[in-house]
Amino acid sequence: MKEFLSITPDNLQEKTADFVGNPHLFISGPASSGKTSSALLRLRQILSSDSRSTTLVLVPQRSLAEPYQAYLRTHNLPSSQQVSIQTMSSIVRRMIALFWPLIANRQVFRHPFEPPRFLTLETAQYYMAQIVNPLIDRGHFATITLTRNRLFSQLLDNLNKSAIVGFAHTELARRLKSAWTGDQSQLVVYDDVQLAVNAFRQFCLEHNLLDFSLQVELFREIIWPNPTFQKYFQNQYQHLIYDNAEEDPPYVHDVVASWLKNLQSTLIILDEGGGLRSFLGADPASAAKLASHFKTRLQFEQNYVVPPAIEALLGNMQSSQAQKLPLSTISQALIITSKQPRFFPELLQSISQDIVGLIHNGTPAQEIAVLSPFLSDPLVFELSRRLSTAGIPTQSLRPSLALKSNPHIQTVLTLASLAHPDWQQPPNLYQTQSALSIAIPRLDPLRARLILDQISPNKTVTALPAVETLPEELTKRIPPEVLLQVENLRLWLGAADPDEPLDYFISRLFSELLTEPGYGFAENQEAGEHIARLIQSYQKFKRPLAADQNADASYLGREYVKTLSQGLLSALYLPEEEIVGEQGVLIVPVMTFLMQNRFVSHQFWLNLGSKGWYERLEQPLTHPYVLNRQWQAGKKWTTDDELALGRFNLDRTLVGLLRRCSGQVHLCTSDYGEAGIEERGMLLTWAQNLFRSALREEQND
Amino acid sequence: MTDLIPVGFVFHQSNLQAFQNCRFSFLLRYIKKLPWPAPLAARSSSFEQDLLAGSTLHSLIHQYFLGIDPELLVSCAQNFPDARVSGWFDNFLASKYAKITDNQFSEHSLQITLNGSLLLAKFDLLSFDSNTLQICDWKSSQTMPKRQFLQERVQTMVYALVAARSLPQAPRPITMHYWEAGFPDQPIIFEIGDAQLRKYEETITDLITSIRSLRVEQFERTTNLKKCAYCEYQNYCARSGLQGDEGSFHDWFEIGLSELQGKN
Ligand code: SF4
Repeated sequence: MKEFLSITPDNLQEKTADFVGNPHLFISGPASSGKTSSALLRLRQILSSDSRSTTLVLVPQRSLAEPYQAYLRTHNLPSSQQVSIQTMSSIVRRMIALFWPLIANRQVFRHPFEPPRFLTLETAQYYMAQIVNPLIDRGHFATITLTRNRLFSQLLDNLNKSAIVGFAHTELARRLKSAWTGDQSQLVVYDDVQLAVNAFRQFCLEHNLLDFSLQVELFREIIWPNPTFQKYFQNQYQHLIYDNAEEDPPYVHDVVASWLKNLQSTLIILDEGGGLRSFLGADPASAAKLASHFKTRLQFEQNYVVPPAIEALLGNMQSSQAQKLPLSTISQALIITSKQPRFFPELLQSISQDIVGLIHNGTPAQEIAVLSPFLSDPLVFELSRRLSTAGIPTQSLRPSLALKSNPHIQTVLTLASLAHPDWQQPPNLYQTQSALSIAIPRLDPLRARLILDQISPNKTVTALPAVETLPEELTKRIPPEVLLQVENLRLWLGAADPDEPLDYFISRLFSELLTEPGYGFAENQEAGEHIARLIQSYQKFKRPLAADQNADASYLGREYVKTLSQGLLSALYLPEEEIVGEQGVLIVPVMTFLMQNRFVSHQFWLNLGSKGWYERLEQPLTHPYVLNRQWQAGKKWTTDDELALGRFNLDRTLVGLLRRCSGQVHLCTSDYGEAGIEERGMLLTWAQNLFRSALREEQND
Repeated sequence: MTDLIPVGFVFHQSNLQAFQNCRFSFLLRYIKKLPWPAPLAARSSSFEQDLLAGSTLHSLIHQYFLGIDPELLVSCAQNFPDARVSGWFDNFLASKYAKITDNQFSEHSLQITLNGSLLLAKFDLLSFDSNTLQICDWKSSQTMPKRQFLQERVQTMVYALVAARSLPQAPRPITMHYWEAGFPDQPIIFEIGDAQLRKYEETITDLITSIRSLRVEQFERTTNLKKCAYCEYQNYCARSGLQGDEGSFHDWFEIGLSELQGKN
């Protein structure tokens, strides 16, 4: 990755950096036109000339702050303390906690002076399930075939949209219905949506629960206008740099707009090809309106990254008169393999070889990115494995610790279920067999199964058998020291106190038994990290629940394990998407790359035939484009709108990627895609047409 | 100098204290950032509760200095599940520290460069006028700490040093007040003069220099087994089940509290 500040500042950048001459500035331009570099120059000037005041660097997502963080990290500045890098959601969350007494005073909640109970996405889903499951049992949402967790998350998404766009949540059904053109039965579903979100909100107000939507509403309506808060906030920050404003929802723009007059200096940056997070409520049109508050606006057009061939391709894509590009130009920008492999693994093989070749010829590994709309863990693993065999480091998103597939976590949860018969969630035979052979590595799965066969006619296991009860022909086949371990495990689990909190239980199980010599987690650092995260996940889960009077340790443990098994906690708590690994070839989903605020020399695009490049997820209970401030009241969402959206999304993604490429794009296809089927989405067609018509043109000449 | 400590690494009282507790814990926690299951039971069941109560008291005092109506704060304190918090906050309101004046900075961070390294302090309350500079630190210990114990702590040195070096005006005498919410009439106050500050500077500089000079294998496990009693890595080091003392409880409690309050 190139250093942002290595670019020599041009006139526009110098103007941007000058926070004294241009205290309030709005800049816009496409990606890679030097906007963030200018902002860094400005930050440097602020820090060197006004070390007493504090700058807020506001970004829609933490990954977009990386250039700022890198700058502060690598310049050992004492004044780095005077820079605060935040997202608006983190500000909202912290300010609600800090100014909670002001909210208490407004008596919005049933127990206003009790502490707030903040919900994560996962705990919000848990409470939504408490509200919605009985509704489903009564026949609501009957026509919806979504999994429960997707259903709950779409309901929460509706609430979030109402808060970040700025309309009452009680209007959701009316808005969704007014844009609907399909089957009339869907209208009843929208009534169910309204019923569920109203009940959820009421429940939150009664129990001091704050999901994201309620946090935003309280912040907007109570905290932000309060004079005590305003005094505090103005003392906190004197300068604002707001980057990628187009990726934030309108409530953030409202807050920023009303704050401007109190700031010593402001720089707002708009990426013109942005709005990639529209499905999450990002509103580029609302961000663009911020420009009207500024007398000084600068338009960045210079391109610092893209080579001529890609520039020509971009020009061609954006021009209305489709001037044909010569094949030579296209081939300089986009590389296709001469012989398309038939199967996906062969494609991975050829990509690895190409990457090795590039690195051999001097391209640094971190100048290469492998991108696809979705990246499965096996794909990342396989590619990383091939590259690491060639000595090439890779970076990818930290794999989600999927609870169902993480053996360390499954082992601990299975043993916890065995130790807590009061939960009435006995593990099945297979889970117990696997837990036993992981906990006691010298007990292979076959022998573990033989032990369990003695006691589990029902395919579920309620307790481990005492070794003395096992038949002799079986005990003869297992070394005595392993039998002793099984017995120790049984006794340890049997002695568990049902009133002990689950996190304490897990921590003891880990340290008193599983890390002892001969057990499966002994000297196993990875197991330790996974169990630490499991404990962290449970602690986050129990925080809002623990204030309930009936929530004793047994109840909390049972609810946690039940919620996990229902798939509501599909991944363990992780702070945010996080790229891990030593600097090297980046293997990430397209969206993650675009939200990194970085560029590379070589991009490998995978799964070209996938519709994931442009299609939005199916969301029958919500609609990100209808529940949007730019949506015209009364307008209908039609199939044409859907198609136009797909084309628009594809265009935006392509332009976004190409503008972040300083060398070449490698188009990688195989006859059969990763899923083993032939896919022919719009991106593949676009690429084929581009080459075909250039070839035809050349043959005609 | 090794390159184990990255450029931009910020030293603060918690990581320096952790280093003093045990070099290996510093390596695991602040360099390798290794998540590890904390031995919750070993930390005693009240450890986490005490942390939460202490942190809530800090928030209430901070809110008080932000200008939020004390009556509202009293209602919040009374509704907090741990009844100690309300008593502590009443003690605070009745104390001389509840006096609001100009130039008071609550939960305020300052950072300096010390011999090329960044050193950060986040103060519970910093107040100054043209003659004095007062640093306050709120505590919620169950037993009154000894004066000598506080005097020798890294926290005392880092706070005094950062406050003195980062404020531009002419040097002025510093007083450091440790106020215990459970013993409101017995604040422990240190007056720190120039000579003392120079000593602190030397000590902290030496400490940082020695951290920077260590190779990875030199971040050794502590030989004082009492230090392991409340350490989250005790099982990683095969040091579980050891008896701690008040001092080691205090050391790890302060680190936990700082983390809970987002101080580092
Ligand atoms: S357990 Fe003891 S030796 Fe290990 S890191 Fe903690 S304090 Fe150091």
